[in-house]
Amino acid sequence: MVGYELGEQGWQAEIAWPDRLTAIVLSGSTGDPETEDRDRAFGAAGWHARTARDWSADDIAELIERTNGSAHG
Amino acid sequence: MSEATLGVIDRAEKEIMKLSRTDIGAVYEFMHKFRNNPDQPGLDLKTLHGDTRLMAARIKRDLRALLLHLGQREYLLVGVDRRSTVYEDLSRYAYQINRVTGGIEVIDTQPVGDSIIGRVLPAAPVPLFAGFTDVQLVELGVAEPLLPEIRGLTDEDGLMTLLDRAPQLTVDVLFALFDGKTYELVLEEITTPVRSAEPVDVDDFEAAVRRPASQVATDDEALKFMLAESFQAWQIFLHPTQRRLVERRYSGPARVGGGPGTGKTIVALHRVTYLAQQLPPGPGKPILLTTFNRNLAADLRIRLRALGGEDVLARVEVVNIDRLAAQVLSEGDERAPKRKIDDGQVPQLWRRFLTAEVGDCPWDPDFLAAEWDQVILGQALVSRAAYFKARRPFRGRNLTRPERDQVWDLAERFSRWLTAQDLITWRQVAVRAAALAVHRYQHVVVDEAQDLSAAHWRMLRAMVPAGTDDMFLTGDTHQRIYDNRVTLGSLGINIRGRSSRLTLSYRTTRQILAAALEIMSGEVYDDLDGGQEDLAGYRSLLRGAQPAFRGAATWAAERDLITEQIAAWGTPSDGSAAICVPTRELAADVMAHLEAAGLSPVEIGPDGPKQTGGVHVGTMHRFKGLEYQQMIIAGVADGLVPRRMIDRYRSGDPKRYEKERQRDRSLLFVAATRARDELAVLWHGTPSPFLTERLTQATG
Repeated sequence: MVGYELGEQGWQAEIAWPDRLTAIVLSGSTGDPETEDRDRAFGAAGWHARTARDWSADDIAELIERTNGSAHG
Repeated sequence: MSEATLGVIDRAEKEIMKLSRTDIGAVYEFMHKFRNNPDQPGLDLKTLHGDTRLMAARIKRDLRALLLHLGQREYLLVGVDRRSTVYEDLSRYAYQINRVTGGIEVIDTQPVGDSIIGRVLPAAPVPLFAGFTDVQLVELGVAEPLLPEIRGLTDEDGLMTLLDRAPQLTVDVLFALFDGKTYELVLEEITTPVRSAEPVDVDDFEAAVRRPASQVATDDEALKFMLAESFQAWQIFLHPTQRRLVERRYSGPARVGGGPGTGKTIVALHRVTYLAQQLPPGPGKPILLTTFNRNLAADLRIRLRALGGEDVLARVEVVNIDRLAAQVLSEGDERAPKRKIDDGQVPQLWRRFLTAEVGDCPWDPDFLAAEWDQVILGQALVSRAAYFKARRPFRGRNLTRPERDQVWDLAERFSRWLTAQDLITWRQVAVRAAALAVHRYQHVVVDEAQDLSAAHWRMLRAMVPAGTDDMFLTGDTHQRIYDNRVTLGSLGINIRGRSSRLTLSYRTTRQILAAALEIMSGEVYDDLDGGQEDLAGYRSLLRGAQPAFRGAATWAAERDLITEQIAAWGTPSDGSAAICVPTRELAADVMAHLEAAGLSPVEIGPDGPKQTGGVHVGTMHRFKGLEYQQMIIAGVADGLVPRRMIDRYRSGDPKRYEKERQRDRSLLFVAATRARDELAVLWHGTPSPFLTERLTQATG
């Protein structure tokens, strides 16, 4: 799913696979409390949320492969 | 015969402020006459009981001035009192030069006490300050004449009673000790910073009166506060904790928060004056003083003129934020729409737009209106990409990227549709102005900062270069009555480490404050920088009657309670009493009813009360920034407070419902804290759910 919002606070992920609690998030400037709070919120909800850079290309390829294109929801 | 100088010490100012307006006028007359010639027979100046310094003089038939003769032709007004008390019991007044600060202190050692009947006293009371010796207390700066009384204190109520009339340093020290600080810590944090730089001669009153610690107003300052409409608002003497915030260099934006009546506005005004005085001489207005509300901006201008004079005012632009935004927009883009519309009309306009231009639309007009107003304009988002990136907290419904794309398309069409009709909402004005603003000030001071939107902040940020003393904000999120949520850091205004809070209320009595805090209970507010703010430590040194809570069966019966209450207060007609209701209809009805009862009601309009005298009547929105000695809040009934119309959000948009409900609760809190001495809260039928059972059953 493109443009996922987590909870009432609406923490954003660029791309998310809600059924697998996996998401790609935007990188923020270091020390930005928004970014820190977002990562904490995804973590607390049991998600694996990382920036595109932190996921390895293989990881992402595998994610896309497994969901077989349904990530474009 | 020759002229004399007559200063006014802070405790006398407080006593004068408690008088009626007529009596204040008499004190003013007295001071004028006294300065011309203190020996004229009509003033009846005499020393009392053989004391060489303490003197009394006649203000009017039943009112006496208590004076301290400092030397030669120099006098200090230290109190005003009814004739009987002054002459009969002058020995109760003690005066001294404080050994620590070198300031003059005048203390009433035996005030008329409150009744303690009915209060349950603990079985074996332990004196509060048993852990400290007299020598220690005096070394910390406590006034010696109060020591016997301090030794008898066993509970907080007693302490508060005493602190009502104790000198400033005594108050600060005793509070800190009461809060559990050690002798060493109090010495370091409170006493040492105010210690006189030079050795103190405890007999030299002429030297003492010149020390800032004496908290003495000069002739000119005294005159200003006497002439002021809203005298309490003057607060010529900043508390040391306030002064510290005013006279200081900040490396970047700074904010001062605090509950109602803690003197935030006065701090803002003193700050502006201070900044203006640091400027090199020159033309132009390098300082901006702004606030949300048009009323308050007008009020700030008047007060700034009185505080700083024409010289200060000449260097300061005082304007409300929307007017400033409109100026920026019209100067920067002459083709911008001219017809400004109220943001409250947005949902209605969206409905019309969807019907006329879109037809079959899967989106709810109220949702789109709120999304546009709160997210797109609220966060000042000016591009599709910015909207995609924006977080949308508490919007009740999550959106995917394709959905945001659709919403953005509709928002752009809506905006073009408005422009085609030469229409623009105030929030749009602010967003457009933010993009056009350029540096034009050196310092920006914002009062009631909690009311400004993200776009306003962006505009202000663009108007002042980042640097030392660039921005100074005062605001209190508990008084938030407009619904902007904003994080300053994200707008380039970083106040971290430069944020402070005032906790001492100068306006409201402890009794009224307690009721107001109970009304607010359970609500959590964010401060402007994302953290949560509470009212912990918020306190008052003023004491008064318990507020009255009374219900009636019908509105007609409640109106009678209003007239009864006004009569019980002696039918004040000098603008010191006000009636506050939730709706315009009720306000009109109260006006008519008072008129019929032979009173002279004065409506509080968008620009404030239309006249200064009479009994003021207005809706809750109008009371922000105002203050009254006596206040009735009527119509605090279920269905009116909070407004019944918000019930429609209850099931469909629970977040919105909570937000609106919180807003109405804030309005009631703001109204309650406008009362200085006495407050009556009335309702008909079922009381408002904001009034706890404890409150509604407190009085009959």
